[in-house]
Amino acid sequence: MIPEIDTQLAAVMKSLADNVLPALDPSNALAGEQIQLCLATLGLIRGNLPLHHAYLRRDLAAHAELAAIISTLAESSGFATDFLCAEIVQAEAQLADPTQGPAENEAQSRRLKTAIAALVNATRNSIAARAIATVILAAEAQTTLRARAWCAGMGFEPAPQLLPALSDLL
Amino acid sequence: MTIRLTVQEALGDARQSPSADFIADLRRRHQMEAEIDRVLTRKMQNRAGAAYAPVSLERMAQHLNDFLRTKLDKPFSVRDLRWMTGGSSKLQLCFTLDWHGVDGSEPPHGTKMVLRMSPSESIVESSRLREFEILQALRGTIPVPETYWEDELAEYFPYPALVFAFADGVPKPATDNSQQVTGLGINYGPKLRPAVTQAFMQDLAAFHRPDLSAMNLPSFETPRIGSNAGVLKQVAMWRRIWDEDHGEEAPLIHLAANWLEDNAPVLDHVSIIHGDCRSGNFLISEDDGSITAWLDWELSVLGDRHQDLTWATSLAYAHIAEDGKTLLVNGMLPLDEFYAAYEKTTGLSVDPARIKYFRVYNAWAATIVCAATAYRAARGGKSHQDVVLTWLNGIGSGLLMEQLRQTLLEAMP
Repeated sequence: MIPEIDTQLAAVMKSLADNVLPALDPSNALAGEQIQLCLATLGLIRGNLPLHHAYLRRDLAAHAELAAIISTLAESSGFATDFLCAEIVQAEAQLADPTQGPAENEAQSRRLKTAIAALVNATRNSIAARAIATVILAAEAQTTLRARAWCAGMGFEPAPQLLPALSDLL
Repeated sequence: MTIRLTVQEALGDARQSPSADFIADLRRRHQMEAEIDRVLTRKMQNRAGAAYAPVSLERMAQHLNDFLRTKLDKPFSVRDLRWMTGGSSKLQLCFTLDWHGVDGSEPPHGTKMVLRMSPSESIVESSRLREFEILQALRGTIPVPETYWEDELAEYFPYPALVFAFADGVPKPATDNSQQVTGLGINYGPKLRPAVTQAFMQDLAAFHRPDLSAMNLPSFETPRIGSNAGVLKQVAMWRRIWDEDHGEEAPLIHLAANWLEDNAPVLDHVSIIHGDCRSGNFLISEDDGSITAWLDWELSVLGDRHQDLTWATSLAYAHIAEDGKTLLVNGMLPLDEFYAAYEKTTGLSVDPARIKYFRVYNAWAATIVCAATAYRAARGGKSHQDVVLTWLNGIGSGLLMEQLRQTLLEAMP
């Protein structure tokens, strides 16, 4: 059995807290700050890691759906959207392929978002621009909500109790 | 066959190792102030270079002594050199210089000073030269640290540097036990709040109505009244920063950028804009609430006062007052009273249309800083605060992006 990532993370955090932190020079404020930040970051990673693959799949699927809608709007105003459609097809193929891991899905999601941004700029000031903006503004509410839920453990949310659990958003 | 790739391999991340053509294309597409173009270009040219490595105090002492030998004719000595903590952007040391003053005419005395440097990349790329010029220009107008020297080209220090006097005062009272809406606002407390607010407004009046003819600001471009070219250059700057730094595209960033270009207001009056004008960026006296020093002028520009007004009145720096219900913007006043006090003290109007514009602008710029630049600097290991930058990246991707989305919804008809 290979080492469990969760166990490794837990062991690293415990060693830093038990062995390194107490040995720090108390007058070295920067070192003290940094080790606390490192421990907190490792804790966040440990908490989110089990949902990483599902998060990236959801992100890819959501942006493929968004891309399909705005592609239709752009085409109806006479814009060619082959570049975007190609990325949508690739995204759908990846989502159907269980061998595709987080790195591949994130890469495709980024290619898709690049194509979406290109379409926003290409259709600027066109008849379709307002409708495309409306769709994006609505759809990105879920993107930002997922991102906020992912980062909830950082403690910056003014009302974290109002955020849905990340698992419920995936 | 399925090909396994890392994200960077998949994308051939041009931003992590930018070619000369990539950089030239960015410069061509985004026209901005010359000094800002220079620092952003330097950042990109250095991007594929070495990661940040800590510099020892011994080495810094050597750099400092070598630098001071070129500036001071009379004998001097440096003591009590130590790193300052806090902040996610700049490397700062404080020290005491025993000397005879800048021109050597004073009796020997010790002056506590700060050496402020920009690491290879940080959350904000800015010019120490511009910061030096604006601090020198504002001396005598509002409380700012006395600023002695700059080494923008890093001829003596490992990174571009600025040396100024250590300022007395505190960013917040020791008794701050706020109920902030976010973690960033400062509660001055009912005793100090009126004096701090009055001092704030008076200083805003001074630098929002500057006598530019008496100021030496060669690295700053003065925007033309009746034109929106000035703010468009700022929009171009942030568009370029997004293009240089992002890890992945975000459609909201482009919707906002297009809206900002299409709705850029003309300028009615040239102000000195702090660029990060808020509680926490000035020091106060806990005795009487007076402002002892304004800090962090690295984002300063000449432009529209509404940029500072909307930044200061952001929800991020607000908190609930002692009555449990009144929201105090910037830890000072309810929003409408804040604007009224500003108008009364400065004699300058507050324009709702430009408030709306700069709310979008500030939400957009803040998102770019955290969602893009924080990511890229940490990705390259370029700063002394990479872990902090990854946290700021989290805020950018979620909270700030959502704030931008909502601000756009309000602004777009």
